[in-house]
Amino acid sequence: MDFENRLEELVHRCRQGQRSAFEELFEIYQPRLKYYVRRIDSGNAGVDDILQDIWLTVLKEIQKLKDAKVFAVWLYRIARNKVYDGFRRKDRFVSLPEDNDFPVSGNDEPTFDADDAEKLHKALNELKPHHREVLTLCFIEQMPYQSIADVIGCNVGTVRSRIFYAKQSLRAEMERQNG
Amino acid sequence: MDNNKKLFEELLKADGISPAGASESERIAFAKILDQQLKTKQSPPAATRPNVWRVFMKSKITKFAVAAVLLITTAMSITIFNQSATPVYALEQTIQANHTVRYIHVKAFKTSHEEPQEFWCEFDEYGYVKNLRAEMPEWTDPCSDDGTKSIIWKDDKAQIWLPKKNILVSIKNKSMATQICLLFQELDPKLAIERLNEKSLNGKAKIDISEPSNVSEPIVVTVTSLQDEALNEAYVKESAAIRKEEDGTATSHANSLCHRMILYVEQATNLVASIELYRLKDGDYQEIGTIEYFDYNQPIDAHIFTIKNIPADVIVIDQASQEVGLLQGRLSDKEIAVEVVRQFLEALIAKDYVKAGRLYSGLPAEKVEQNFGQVKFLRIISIGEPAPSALTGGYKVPCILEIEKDGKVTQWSPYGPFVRQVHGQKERWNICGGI
Repeated sequence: MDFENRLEELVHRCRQGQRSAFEELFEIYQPRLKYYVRRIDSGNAGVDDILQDIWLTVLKEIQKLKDAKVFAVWLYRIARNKVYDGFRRKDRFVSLPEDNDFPVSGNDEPTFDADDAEKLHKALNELKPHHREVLTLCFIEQMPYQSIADVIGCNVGTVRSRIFYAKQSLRAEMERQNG
Repeated sequence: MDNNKKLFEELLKADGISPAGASESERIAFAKILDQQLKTKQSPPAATRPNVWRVFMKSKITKFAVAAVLLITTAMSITIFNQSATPVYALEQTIQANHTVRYIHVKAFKTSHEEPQEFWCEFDEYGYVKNLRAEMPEWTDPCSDDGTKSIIWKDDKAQIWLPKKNILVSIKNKSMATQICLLFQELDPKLAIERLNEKSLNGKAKIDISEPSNVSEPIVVTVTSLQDEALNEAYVKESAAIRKEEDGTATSHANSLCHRMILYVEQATNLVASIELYRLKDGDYQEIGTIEYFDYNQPIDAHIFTIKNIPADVIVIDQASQEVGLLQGRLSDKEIAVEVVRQFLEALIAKDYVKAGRLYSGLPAEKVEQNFGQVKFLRIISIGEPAPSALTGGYKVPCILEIEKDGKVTQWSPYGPFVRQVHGQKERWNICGGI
């Protein structure tokens, strides 16, 4: 059974209240959620609390998830909302990303190899938050652009250009760090 | 292993996270919340869901009535007991009994939630709601982020206390009274029983009555819908609200339909002690909630109809004594939504906090200054196309502003603002949140 089908079946079993299905879902998503939350909320010591809060919402609300196929988008939207709610509580006037991400037409998007992972991880932390976020969803979930757009609440064109410029920034940062 | 998967695993490792799964401490923490959640879904805990009969007998009026009936029946011959096994009870007796009710305390539980809705109601001599207090847990309004609400209707004025937002709203409007009474009418025993009786007379529901010979035990009235029609609208309304959610996570309407109600009626008074609600799914009746009735005709303390322990820094939104928002005039709904936002932002730029507060639900000027005075609003960069917001029933009007914060000029966009018609002032529109 491929991952999508397995996930759909898991979500279906969760809706029936099967404990083992919830546990399996948690095992699959907890590590990647943790990576994502740490990237968009860098410097927050309360990541574990946020993660617990996310799972509590998942447990309470999974009955309402209409389409099991969109589970990952739904989950990351919950996660993003929890982190941003925390931001708003601290400071309602969080500046908008200084987005100079114009539409892209070229095909010269940098690619990254698993052998670069450690350097990539370090460089990722130096990027602007909105670049870090789209790349994390891209690398960790291999989410299609449309799904990333659904998670962060913008149009797919913005995601495409943002990922393009984010990857360029990432490549430049890796070269800067490693000479 | 493909490059993408390897890259993902290596990234997690670089951050000290095992790609294989959660850590032991995370598993323990998750197991705890899972235990709690699964238990809650099965049934409300005993601590919050008192035994129906115990609740029943707690009432002073009930105790006296039961004692009186026991005294009489003990004095009679045993043959009377045998005769009483034949059902003599009819729903009309409960309808009659309800005409004498002036005070009542109600708790409504849903099986999937621990915390009940709670109501205290005082009726006038004609049976209309005079004073009402409603405690509404977060789950009753899944489309808003208001949190729990305390609602009081007294002296023709409504007060709504939102502890999560530290906001106290005062509204004086007749339509508000209707809305508040609507909250209660599905749980009002008088109306509920009259409706069930009507459904039975119209052939839409079947009524079975089990009347035990022991008068200290309740009469059990089972009402079953014969036409797949909801017997109680409260649960239908809630599911409709959930369906309105914006994020595509709607639940099935059928999940909350009540197809069977079991009423426990006190023999001594003919008043209802509790009602269990069931839905029909896959041929089985599954319990979806319980409504419990307490303290029939015991005068309610005046302090119940007063909101207490409100913090000194509460944000008071007074819509009872001032007009808020903007008059719609000839503008379309979308045009007025944009206009409200534009005037609000211009008021912030001009530091006109009185006007800004009036456009923002009637927020006092000092609270507006407290919330928005920390930054300098320089100019409106854009106000976008309003999008319908199921969350608020109005529109979300996206906008971007240039602000100066800590000496730095930057761009800022609120996550709303949300604009809708003012409660009880339908020709006026105001910002209701999202900034």
